[in-house]
Amino acid sequence: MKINVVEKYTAAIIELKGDIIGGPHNEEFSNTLRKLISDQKKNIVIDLAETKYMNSSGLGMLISGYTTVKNSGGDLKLANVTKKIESLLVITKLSSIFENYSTVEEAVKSFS
Amino acid sequence: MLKDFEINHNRVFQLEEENSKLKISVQELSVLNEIATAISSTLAIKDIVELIVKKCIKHLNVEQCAVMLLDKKNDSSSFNTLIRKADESKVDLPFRLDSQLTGWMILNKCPLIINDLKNDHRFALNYSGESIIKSLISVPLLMKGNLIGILTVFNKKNGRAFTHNEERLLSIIGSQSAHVIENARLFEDEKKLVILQEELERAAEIQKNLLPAKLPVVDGFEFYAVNIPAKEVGGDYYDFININDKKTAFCLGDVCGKGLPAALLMANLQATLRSQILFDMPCSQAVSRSNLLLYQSIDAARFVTLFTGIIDLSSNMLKFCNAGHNYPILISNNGEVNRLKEGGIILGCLPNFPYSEGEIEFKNGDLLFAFTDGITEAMNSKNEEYGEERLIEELLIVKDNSCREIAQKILMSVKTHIKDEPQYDDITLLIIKKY
Repeated sequence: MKINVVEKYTAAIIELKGDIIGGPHNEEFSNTLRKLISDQKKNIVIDLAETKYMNSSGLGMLISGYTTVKNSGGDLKLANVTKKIESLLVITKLSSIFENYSTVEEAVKSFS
Repeated sequence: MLKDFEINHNRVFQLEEENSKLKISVQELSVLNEIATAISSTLAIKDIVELIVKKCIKHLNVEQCAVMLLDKKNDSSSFNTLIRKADESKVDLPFRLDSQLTGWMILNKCPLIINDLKNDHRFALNYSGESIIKSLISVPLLMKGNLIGILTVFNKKNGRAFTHNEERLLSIIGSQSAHVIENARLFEDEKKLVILQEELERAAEIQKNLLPAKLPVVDGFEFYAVNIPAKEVGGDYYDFININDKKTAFCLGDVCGKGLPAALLMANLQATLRSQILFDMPCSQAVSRSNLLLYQSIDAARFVTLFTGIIDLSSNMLKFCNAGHNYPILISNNGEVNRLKEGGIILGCLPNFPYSEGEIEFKNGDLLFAFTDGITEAMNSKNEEYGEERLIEELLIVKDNSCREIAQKILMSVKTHIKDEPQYDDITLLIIKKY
C-alpha cells in the first residue's frame, strides 16, 4: 500500500494505492493522519480509487483512523470506493458511519 | 677467531629469537586449544561468553575483558548482552566509550589496538578524574561478514603496552568465538521456538475446548457446526447456549485478524456474549451490551463480526441480530432464498450503537446456513474466490441432506475450488434445520 497526501481547497486527500491489509501500513497511515490533525487539517478524504482489495486488518486501520479524526473534531470521508469494498462496508454496516462519495470532488464539496 | 665468534653470536641470537617466537606460538596454540576445549563443552551462550572472558583475562594478562553481543531483533538498540569481568579492582567502563567502541566497530569491523586511549583522537572521552581505561584491544566477532559482537580486553597489567602479537591472538580467539556463540545462539533460538510451538499447541487445545463439546439436542431441530482454523488457533467463533427449556441461543462470529491475537479476542468475545445471553434479554440488547463491553476492552483497529440468534422452541420463532457479519442464508423448503441482515454495525467500533433485531419463523424443511468469510473468500490459484453465488447454488443442490452432510458437501465443494492452494482463513459453518 502506498500513501500519498494532496490538498484540495479545504480538505486533505489521502490516496491509498494497492492492497489495504493493515499490519505494517497501520503506523504509516495513523502517522499521516496525526500529522494532518496537528496541522489543523481535519477535513479528510480517503481516496480508494486505486485500492482493489481490503482485508479485515485494513478495515480495522480505516476504523481506527475514523475514530482518531472524529475525536479531534474532524471528519473522515471516503471517495471512489470499488464495488467489492463497498459491499464490505455494507455487510459490516460501516456504511452507516463512513460517508462515501463517487468522486473526490464531491467528497471535498461535502465539507463546505 | 673474532669473526667466528661474531657468526656464532649471530646464530645464537637468531636461534634465541626463533626459540622465543616458537615459544610464543606454542603458548598461543595452547591458549587457543584451552579456549576451544572449554567452550565446546557447553552450549549455553552465557557460559560460553563467561569462559571466553575469563580465559582472555588470564592469558592476555589484562585487567578487564568484555563481550558485547549484537541484538538481532532490534538493530537500533545495537548491543544488548554485555558480559564483562574484571580481574582486580572492579572498574566500570565509561558509557561513552562503550557506545563509541561499538560505533567504531560497526563501521570498521577490524581489530583495534590502543595503548594511549587518553590521547587517541578517535575516541573523544570526556570524563572527569583519572582515565581508568588506558589501553585496549578490541576485535569484531564476525559471522559471514556480519558483526555479531565485539570482544575487548582492557588495560594490560603492570602498565605494559599491548603488542601486535596479542592483537593477532585476540583476533583468532574472536573468530573462533564468533562461530561458537552463533551456534549457541541458534540452538537457544530453536529451543525458544520449540517452547513457543508447545505453548501454541496448548492454546489450540484450550480454544478447542472453548467451543461447545456437544450439539444441542432439541425436538424438531437439527444443529451442526464445524470450525477449521487456518493456523493452530483462530479467530472464528461459534457457540450454542441453552438459555432455558424453551430457548436456545446460537452465534457465529469472526474476529478480525488471525492466529493468537485473534484467538485471545475470541475468548473475550465468548465470555462476554455468554454472560449477556444467559440474562434472557432480547437478542439485540445482549448484542448491544456485548458491543459496549468489547469496545471498552479492545483497541480501535480491532473488531468482531457476529451473528446471534435465539430460537423460541415453543413457537419456532427465531430472533436474530446481525452485527456486521456475512449475511446467513435461509433456504425454505420450496427453495426460496433469504438473507438475514437485520442488526447493526460490527462489534467494538461504536460504543452506543443502537442494534436492532429481525424475526423469522422456522417452518418445516427450512435450512439456516451461517458461515464465515473463510468459505466465500477461499481462493484458487487464479485468485478467484469461491463466492456467495456458488455457495447458494451448491446449497440449493444439497439442502435436503442432513446438516452434517450439507457441511461435508460444502466443505468438499470449497476444497474442489481451491484445489492445492493452502487454506488462508479460518473456516466456520453453523447449520440449523427444522423438521
